[in-house]
Amino acid sequence: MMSSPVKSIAIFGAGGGGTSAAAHLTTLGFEIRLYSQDESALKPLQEIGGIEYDAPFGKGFAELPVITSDAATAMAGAELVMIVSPAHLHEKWISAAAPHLTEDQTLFVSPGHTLMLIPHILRSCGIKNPVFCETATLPYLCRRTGPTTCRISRVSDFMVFGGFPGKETKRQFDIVSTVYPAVQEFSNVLETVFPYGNAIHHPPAFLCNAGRVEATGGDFRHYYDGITPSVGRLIDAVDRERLAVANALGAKTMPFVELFYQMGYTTEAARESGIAYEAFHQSEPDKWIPAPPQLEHRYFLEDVPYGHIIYSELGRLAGVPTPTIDHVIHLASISLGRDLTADALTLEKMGLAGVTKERFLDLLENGFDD
Amino acid sequence: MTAQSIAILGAGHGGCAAAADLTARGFEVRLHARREETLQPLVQQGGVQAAGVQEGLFPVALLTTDVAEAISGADIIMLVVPSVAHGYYAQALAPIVTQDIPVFVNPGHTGGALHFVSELRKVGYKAPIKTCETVTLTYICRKTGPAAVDIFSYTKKLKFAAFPGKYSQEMFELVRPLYPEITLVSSVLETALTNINAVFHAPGMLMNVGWIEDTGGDFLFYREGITPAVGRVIAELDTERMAVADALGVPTASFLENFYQAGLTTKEAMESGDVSRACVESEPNWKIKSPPSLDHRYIHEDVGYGLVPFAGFGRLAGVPTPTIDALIHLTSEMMNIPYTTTGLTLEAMGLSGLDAKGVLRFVEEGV
Repeated sequence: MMSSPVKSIAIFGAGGGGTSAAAHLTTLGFEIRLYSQDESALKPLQEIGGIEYDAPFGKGFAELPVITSDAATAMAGAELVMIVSPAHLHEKWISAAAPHLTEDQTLFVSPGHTLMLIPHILRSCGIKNPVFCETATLPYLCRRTGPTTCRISRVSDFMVFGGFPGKETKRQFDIVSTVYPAVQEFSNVLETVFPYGNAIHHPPAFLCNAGRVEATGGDFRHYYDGITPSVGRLIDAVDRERLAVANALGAKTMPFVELFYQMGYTTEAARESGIAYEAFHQSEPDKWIPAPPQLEHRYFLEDVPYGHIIYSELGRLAGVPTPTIDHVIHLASISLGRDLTADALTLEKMGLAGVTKERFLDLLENGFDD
Repeated sequence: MTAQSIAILGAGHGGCAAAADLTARGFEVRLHARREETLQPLVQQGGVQAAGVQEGLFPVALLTTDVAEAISGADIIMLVVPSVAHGYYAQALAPIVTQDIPVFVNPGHTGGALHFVSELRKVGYKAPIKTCETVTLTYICRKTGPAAVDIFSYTKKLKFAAFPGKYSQEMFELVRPLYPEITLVSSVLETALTNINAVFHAPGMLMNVGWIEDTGGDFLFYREGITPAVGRVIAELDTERMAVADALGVPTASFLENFYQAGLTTKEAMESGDVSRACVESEPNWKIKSPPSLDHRYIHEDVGYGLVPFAGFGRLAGVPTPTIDALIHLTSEMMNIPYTTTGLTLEAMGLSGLDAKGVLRFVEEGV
């Protein structure tokens, strides 16, 4: 299977990430075909035929040739299909894309970090040997600032990249790196799960600031004010457990502080300290980010069920205890008043209930053989 | 027997409040401080300056750093210190105390009397001993200077128990003239499991760590810090505590009920079932600021000597305590202190190796 150079890209998702990718990649000369199921998000863009952006590479208007709520139209002729959505919408977007996906299209999920969820969904859509690739993080620090505008504060210069099955990583990497040269080739989608930074620090930091969030409506800086030395120690404890799980599964990953440094978020001095408190306290890009106004927020709603819980599940699979992670999950659920494990990314939800560690690692590398 | 002469061991907030109050009410008070620096301002002033329930300068009968002198001729010893000081006083008292001078652990919090007796046994005291405890301090008070104390009020409807339980009535009659607000309960397990501070301080601290460390505790701990989410964690912890008590056959009431009974919140707030509201509407606690750091008794005492024994009783009773365990583990990680071993374990209360039945017998008989 020969793949032609990427010229046309279908982007699924018209939130901050999707519109930012559409704007950025248009300026790089790609033809962007923007898709969303959310008509109200699309309509203002359709009216002006594109998206206005404010970014480090300039301010301007990116004209988008296709803005549609029809998946087939969006994907027609695209070499790359890029899904840009929160993890809890993966199921929805992948199900929409699956019927139209052709063998010569590359399916690229950014950020992914849902492990075997996507292959499982693709298989339930009738694709027996699913192939896709993903990054651990979104390529941008960005947000949608209005119905027709987005702001990009930073384009990532380091993204952990992995493919499924693992043996297909290299081939897909060669394609995606022509679009995003910042991707770094890792082995598989297990290695993209571990560097999902938000999953490491958001739940403990949010838990340790829950009172202040509710009392002040989030009137403080989440990272700079909220991640104090003790909160940092808790993040370090979570990180030690995450690394132990990765290690037991043979996945290469780096300590959070190192990762944060590699991504350009903190200083050399913080990197050398090796502790999360310093990493955040010396993070220029994160310094002014305000705390969320309430606890019903993705810091809990996404980063617990799709972050902490997957580490806990993988710990169970690997036979590695994760008490700190488990206790954070428990208290986050109690503090929200509902069970965050109910809709979480469990092994069962990925079709892996009862799987052994050996079988899991084999699937990861070689994919499905039935 | 009535108590006329009272040895108060500990000259902190509670010790000074008790010294002033009991002197004012005509008792002979013999006040002991461990450190000369604590005692000297009191000596120089000639007593304790009090405001609130008692107003004025109260000339305490004896001020000393010598434990033997403090208890000489006393009818009762009142131990008014944090649990971490129990070991010190056990060591000092073991050679000189007898069962004729009962020890009143005020407050006992969770397992205070059991812990004190266990410490006495550890340093070789073999004879029987009569002890008793209240669940919290008998005063709501704050030291406002080295020799001055504000006594806001007496603690209302304070649960009181004796160890061994067979001396309950005798101890109750001895202490009641001092503190008419005490009510006698079934055993020190009941006082232990009624410890309000252990129920709400740890969640309040953990879920406000960022705020505490960022601002040095510049917010109102109860009124601002116990938000709905914090309240939900407190309520869950409380459910586990009550399940443990039930399984041990120990009478118990909810945190809200206890908080209301102690005069700390409104009837409406109690009836709403909303822990956050009960704390926010706690008038006696309104102005109380947050601790400036985690290095504070809300963690050391209420996790180490509150949640750790709760979890121990849970294991003893076969009742899971996931929320309590989570709070212990996460605060331990933050403090770099393994509270499950440094805190008040079953062993530290002298209860290791006993099953639930054995514990019930031990708290009644003392052996």
